[in-house]
Amino acid sequence: MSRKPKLLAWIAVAALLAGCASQQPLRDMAPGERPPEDTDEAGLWMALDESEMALQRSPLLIRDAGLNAYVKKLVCDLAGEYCRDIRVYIIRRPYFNASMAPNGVMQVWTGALLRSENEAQLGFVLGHEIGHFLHQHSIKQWRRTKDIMNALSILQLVAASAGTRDAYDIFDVSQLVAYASLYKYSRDAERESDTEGFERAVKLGYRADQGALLWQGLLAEDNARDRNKPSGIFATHPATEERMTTLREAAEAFANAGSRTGEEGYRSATEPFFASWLDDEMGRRHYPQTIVLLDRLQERATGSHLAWVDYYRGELFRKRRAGGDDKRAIDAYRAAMRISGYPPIAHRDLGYMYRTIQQPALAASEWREYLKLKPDAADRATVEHYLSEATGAAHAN
Amino acid sequence: MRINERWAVRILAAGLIMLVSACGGPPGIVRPNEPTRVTRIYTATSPIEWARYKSFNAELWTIDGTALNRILWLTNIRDKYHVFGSSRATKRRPDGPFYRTGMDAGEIESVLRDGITGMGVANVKTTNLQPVTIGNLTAFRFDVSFDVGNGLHYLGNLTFFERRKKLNLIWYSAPAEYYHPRDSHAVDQLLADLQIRE
Amino acid sequence: MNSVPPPALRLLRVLLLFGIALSLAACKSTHVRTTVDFKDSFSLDGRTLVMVEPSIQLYQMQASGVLEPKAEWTRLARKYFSVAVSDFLTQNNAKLAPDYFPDAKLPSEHRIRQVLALNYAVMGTIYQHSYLHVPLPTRGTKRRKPLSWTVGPGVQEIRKVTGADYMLTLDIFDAYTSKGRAAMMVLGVALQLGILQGGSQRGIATLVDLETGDVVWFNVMTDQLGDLRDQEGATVTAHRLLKGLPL
Repeated sequence: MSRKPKLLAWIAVAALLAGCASQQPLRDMAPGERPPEDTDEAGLWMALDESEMALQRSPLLIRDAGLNAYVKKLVCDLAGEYCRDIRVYIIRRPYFNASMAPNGVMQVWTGALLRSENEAQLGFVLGHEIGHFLHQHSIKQWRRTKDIMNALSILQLVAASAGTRDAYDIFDVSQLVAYASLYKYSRDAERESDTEGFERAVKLGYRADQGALLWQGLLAEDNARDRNKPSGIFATHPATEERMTTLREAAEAFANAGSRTGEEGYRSATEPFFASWLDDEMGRRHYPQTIVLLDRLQERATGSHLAWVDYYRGELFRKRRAGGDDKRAIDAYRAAMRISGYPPIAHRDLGYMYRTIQQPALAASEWREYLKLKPDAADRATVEHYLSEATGAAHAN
Repeated sequence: MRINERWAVRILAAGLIMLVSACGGPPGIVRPNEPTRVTRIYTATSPIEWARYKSFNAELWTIDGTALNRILWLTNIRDKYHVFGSSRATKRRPDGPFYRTGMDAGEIESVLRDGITGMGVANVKTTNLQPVTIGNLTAFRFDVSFDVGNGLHYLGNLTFFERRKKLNLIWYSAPAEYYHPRDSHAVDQLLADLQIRE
Repeated sequence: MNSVPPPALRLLRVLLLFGIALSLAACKSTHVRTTVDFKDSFSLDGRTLVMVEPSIQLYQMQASGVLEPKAEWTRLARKYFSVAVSDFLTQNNAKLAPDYFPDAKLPSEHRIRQVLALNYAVMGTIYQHSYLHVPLPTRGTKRRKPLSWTVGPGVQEIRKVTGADYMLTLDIFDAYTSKGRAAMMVLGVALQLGILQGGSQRGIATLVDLETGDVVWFNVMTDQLGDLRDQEGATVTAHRLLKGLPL
């Protein structure tokens, strides 16, 4: 063990371990600064930079320029002078999660973008993450982590690997569990970041109650979960009553601070993706949670968003097949159809619902409407096949 | 032998025994333009050569290796069963990519899409669901693409139909780079000439 | 045998059909082995080689059997190995283009990324069928199969960027034992990130013709790699892995 590089590596490890034992001083974090080269944090950053490269190549990375610009701008407004230190990556995973690594890599999962209803709510979440970053909870936490180098490589693997949408992929779940363990902050750290996120959002004029409102929704969803499956609320953000109470109290204290929610801006930025995120959520086949989410979104959604929410409620009931679901599905599809700009596939899938309950005439009528509204449908031949089957059956009756 | 290898051998031995006891056999070959029985319900004629691995109610074909081209034939998937796996819908666990007898083609497509995603691949996309005929039986086919962990993009298609209240499927996939363009036409021909034994 | 298989068998059969070949690695004995099959004999005289984005990953096998990837070890190994390979090739009079690492910002859909991802799939396939001798009847029934795999002419994109005639790619999977352990959980193969499985130390190198994409040479090395965390060990490993390269 006389080789210099090896010795240096051991010194770095020893320094890290020493950091666990003693209270190693934190860097006075100025914007744009990188840790000095001979610190343990520098070693951390080096490996983090590599996992960032894996993230950049991930098939799950969403590269849309418009969406990235929107989220980045919100992050920058919240982070102020630290904006330049943060790089945002939007990842296609249907779970509520956002995280920040010590080197400034912020991940926002599409499940979080789906569950936020407006800019104020997303702003609270991102502000919370910025809080972790600024208070260097990540460094403290990672110093505590038993084997930090392992942790960084787990990030790499998680970044580069494929995602899944349901509980049957054992590989993904075990990986996500490993990833979650990297970001399990102490309750104090969470409280500190909740406050930070809250204050930063409020300072920008956002309504004070939105953080608590979002958290309430996440809590309800998490409580509804099927214990056999991973929750839609990812393990890094434990939805606890305590946090919600803290947020609600803080909201009351700042009740007159600001009034904007940024709903318009949020809607137009997420418009092109909303349906696909709902689709990914449905693919989890975790109906007890999805229905809680859809019901919550339904309360405040308007226009085409509401039409999609109603459509997917229909889909959920149709696929779930619990007692009384056929009627619920029909009601939901019909509710979608009352909204201007609803998706024509609502007719197609309502037709399939009627087919399942042996109502061929009603099915046929829906399918005709679908083909009328969407003459270039990619599955036209399939629907025509069912249509001729239904008209044959209708005549037989 | 290292400890890990010993375990791998144990697991493997168990697996092999089960495979063999389920009427699996040694891998064989599908010769060009020679009609061949596949999983007891098809007669297939392929213009090109394939290697075939047989199991109970399933076959896996490849030319150059399963990461480079593969056709998966799954037969007699029963009501309430996971489309690719062994689990079954129960009261305790009712939700998942389970096949139900009488499902319409759109719903089966959705179940298959979620089943494929559950195998651990990303960005599964299914399009162009079309009815096709196999002999005098109506089947359905859709195009399917996905990415694996290192980003390699795969193309292919999946053909399925219900017969005697059970689901049967034929899934072809190959990397979009070089392999799919090379062989897809031959696979189309194989599917067009496919026959069901009654 | 018309009975319905037990439920566990259904899953197993699909997984086995996909993965059975990989498990067979466990049966191999662990000594250094070289397999070299040439379709046509060729020489690298006067030709340029480029080493492309070597894939090296080091793990520590925990008592629980879990393979935990080690970033710091991996980073060191890549550094030392690159130097060792360059030295070896230069010492053997190969003309070497500078190592090629595609731009980190290149999206995964870009052709070069797809070609390299396909290359790794081909490496894994060669490992399974040519090295582990998992039967592949389309390649004949002899144990030693002709080396007849290709990545396709898409490799010309890499030729354009590097100016080289042949591409050398490596995949090294190296696990260091910590304490005792039970079963091994292999994340990498299941995710198709690492393609090797079985023993705890493996390296595979292939040489690809950058005109046709044909794999013209490959070598697999198992066990007793030099310790890749220092330069000496890396040099030993490089020599073993590149043994038999027609220089």
